[in-house]
Amino acid sequence: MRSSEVRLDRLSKEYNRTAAVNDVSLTIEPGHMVALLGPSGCGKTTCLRMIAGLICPTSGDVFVNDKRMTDVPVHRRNVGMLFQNYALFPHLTVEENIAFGLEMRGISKADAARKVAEALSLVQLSSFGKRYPAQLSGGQQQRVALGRALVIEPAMLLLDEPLGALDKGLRESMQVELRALQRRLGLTTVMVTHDQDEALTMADKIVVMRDGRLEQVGSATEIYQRPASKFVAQFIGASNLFQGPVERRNGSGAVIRVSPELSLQVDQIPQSASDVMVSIRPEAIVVERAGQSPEAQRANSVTARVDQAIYRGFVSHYYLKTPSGGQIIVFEQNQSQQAGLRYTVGEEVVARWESPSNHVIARH
Amino acid sequence: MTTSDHVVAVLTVEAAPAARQRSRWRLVLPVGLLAVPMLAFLTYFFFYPALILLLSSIQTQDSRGIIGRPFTLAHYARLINVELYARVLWTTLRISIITSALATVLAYPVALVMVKSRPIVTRIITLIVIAPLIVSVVVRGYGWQLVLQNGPKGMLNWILMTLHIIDAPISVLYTEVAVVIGSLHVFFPMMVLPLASALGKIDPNLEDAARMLGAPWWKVFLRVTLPLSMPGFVAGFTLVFSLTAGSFVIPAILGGASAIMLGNLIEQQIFVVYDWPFGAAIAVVLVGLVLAVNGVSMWLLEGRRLRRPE
Amino acid sequence: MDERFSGFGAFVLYTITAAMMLFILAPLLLVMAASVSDSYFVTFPPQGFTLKWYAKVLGDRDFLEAMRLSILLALGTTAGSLLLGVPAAFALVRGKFFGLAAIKGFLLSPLIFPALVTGLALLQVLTRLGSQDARINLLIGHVVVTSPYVIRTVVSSLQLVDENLEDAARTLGANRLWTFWRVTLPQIASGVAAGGLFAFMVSFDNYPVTMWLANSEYSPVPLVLMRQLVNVFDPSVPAMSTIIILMAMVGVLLLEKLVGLRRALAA
Repeated sequence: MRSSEVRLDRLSKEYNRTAAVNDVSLTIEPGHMVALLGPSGCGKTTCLRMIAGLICPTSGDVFVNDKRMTDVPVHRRNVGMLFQNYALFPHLTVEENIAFGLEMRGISKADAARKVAEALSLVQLSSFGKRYPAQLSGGQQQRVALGRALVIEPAMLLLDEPLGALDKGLRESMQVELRALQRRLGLTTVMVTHDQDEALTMADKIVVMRDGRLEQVGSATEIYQRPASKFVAQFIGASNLFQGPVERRNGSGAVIRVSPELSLQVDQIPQSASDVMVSIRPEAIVVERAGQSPEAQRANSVTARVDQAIYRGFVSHYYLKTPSGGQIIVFEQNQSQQAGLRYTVGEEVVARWESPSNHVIARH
Repeated sequence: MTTSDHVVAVLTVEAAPAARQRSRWRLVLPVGLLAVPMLAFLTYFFFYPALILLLSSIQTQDSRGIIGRPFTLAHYARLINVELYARVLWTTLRISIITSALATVLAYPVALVMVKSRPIVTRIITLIVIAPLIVSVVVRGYGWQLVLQNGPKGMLNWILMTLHIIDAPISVLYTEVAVVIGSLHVFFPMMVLPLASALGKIDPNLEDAARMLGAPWWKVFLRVTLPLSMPGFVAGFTLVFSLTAGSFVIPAILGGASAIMLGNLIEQQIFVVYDWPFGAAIAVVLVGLVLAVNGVSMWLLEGRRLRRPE
Repeated sequence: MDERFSGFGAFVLYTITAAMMLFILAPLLLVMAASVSDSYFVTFPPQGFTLKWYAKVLGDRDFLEAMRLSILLALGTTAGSLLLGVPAAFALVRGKFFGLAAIKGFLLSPLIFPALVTGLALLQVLTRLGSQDARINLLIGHVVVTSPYVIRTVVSSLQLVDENLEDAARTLGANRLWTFWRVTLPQIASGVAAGGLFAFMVSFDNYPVTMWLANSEYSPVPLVLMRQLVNVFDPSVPAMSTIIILMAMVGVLLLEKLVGLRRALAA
């Protein structure tokens, strides 16, 4: 019953003739958690608020289980929402906060009391019912907000940067906890975040937005390994982006000439492509001392100088400069026995990688 | 102290912790002293006169007009026992309460629109609400005299008669109603401004959260907006009540003989009857009334009954 | 906005708001309309158009005298309340001494005290002192009622000043006075200006203190107007009132320009 399918159909919102959300269509499967991810101002929050009914779309519709919701007022939509700043009623106790939605539904006092107690134990705050929000820590306040949203048995749950106000350690444990709870309840959930780690950790499906439009929709691995655009490649994780003409074709693939010293072998390439952009994730690149590898002029391999080297615990970051001035970022996992950085600044190295790591970006 | 002196001083302070202690003392002392002229001025021209007034309200005035012993509470007794005077006290209370209550009811919508509208609307409303505040009370009282003028040539009567709502002119001027209308006009901003400020402090997410939990707009208002705006309401009510209770000009212009308030009675006792102790006693009662209302409001604002939104 | 109020609720809110705006403006607009009415009595609806009542008012020596007195008094009051109030505000915000809260309450107490009683009490003491000059008595009375406004606006703008900036200036070698002059004052300038302007307007319009301390020789504008109101029935009274309204409008616009009205009036 709780698992609802949510469908956005050509949803748009204009403010003063500028589109905040532009023609967004999206289907969210029952029980899935979807993250709307993008930089601030990309329209993700507007999108979420349109699903909630807090903002009326300029055009387009929201469907829940194929029922058109666009004209249903907010208070009849039965949607649970977590706000970034929790939005707990400061003048009501924890219990009263949780009971608020039940009271609005005209549920009897006794039933409400039972449900509130259940919700409190669900969010592990049973002994805090009589407190006021100001007497709770940030994490506890977020749990109360969660209890308040869940107790009304909502058709879906909306999360607006739900963990943004918590500090790092708490945020990570809440991410895991929230995800587990959502799975257990099978509750269709839409989350807004600008934090890619949060999206990757929690969501079944990630929707990357930019300037009010959908940039890419896919699972965490799809988005990370096969970014559809230059924007996605740069926004999610770090990327080395190279661009160049097709030098020659070989079978379904081709060799791309990036610079005199660097060419790329890609295995799959559209027939029509002539000028190609390729993204390579920094962790796909292997660094070796110059001279150890004899065939430096091979494809997917380049001689470079270490420009900056940063030790970051379990990884090291190297910023390499190629002779023609291009920059290459490499993340290398550190070994447990290793004493600090393996390469020093100024050292000449060879960077190379396998051709499956070359991902051709369709839109650039 | 010149700049280079100070650099030296800073360096010495850094070097010696003991010197640092001393220098902090030296720096703090003069700051507090800056309040002394103002304190002295107010003590002499406000606090001391208020005490003298309180004192003369329990003294006696002889035939030559000199105020002194014996001490007596007769003036207070007179205010309560003489029906003419007691009625003035009740009129003052009644007008003040009605004005504050009306101001509350009417200020909520205005403050809400002011806070939640687009910036341009907010600006215009603010300007209209505040601008009259700076126009002399006498002018505003006069304006209402013109509007409420008894007889067919008053604006209100003319409009009502032209629209055939009434057949004969009604008499509003020189009644309590006119005083309430005038006071409402004069003190309305004092209600709107604190309310708007309290409403503006309410996180809009709270109202959104309430709506998402199933509350229609009027329940959102009753359960979330209204309780959270209580500090503004209490502050506004106190202001309007205090100012109305202590007014002189509006009842003088609009109330005539039928709506005399405490302020008018004091003026009469001092300037017409020359009965200083009695005038002082009425003034003390007025101050007591205002201070009591302010005290209750401070208790409400600081007590746990009203939780301010952060 | 469109989402926040909708349906019946919005209709009620906007109707009441519009009605209140009309309520606020009606008497003032009527006064202004009556001031150019070409009739010998103030009646509704106003008839014709003439500026002769302005000519009459501007030729009225009593009114011009009162205007001069009121403006000088307001200027003196502004100077006095700034001179006393600004240092006091500084002490209240920056000082850390015993009884700070009590002293602040005391300095602001004339705000909640009925001004009428403040004036009466002051009259009694000044009479006992034998202070006969109405101009000085008025100045004292007006400073008593206006200085809390100055203290309040200056305190709230001082509270917004980042004390680290002052510390920074002092580590850079500025002494306390120089720091105040070059760092603090520029930041609170608009608050000081608002407080001063407020003091001017409160003094100019004040009735309840003025009525006790003025005499027949020195009567400020509000008192003269009140007297005219009782004795004169031609449109010179609305003309006089309109001049006062227009002066207030200038004040309001200045205030809005300087600090923004809401901030200036926020308690």
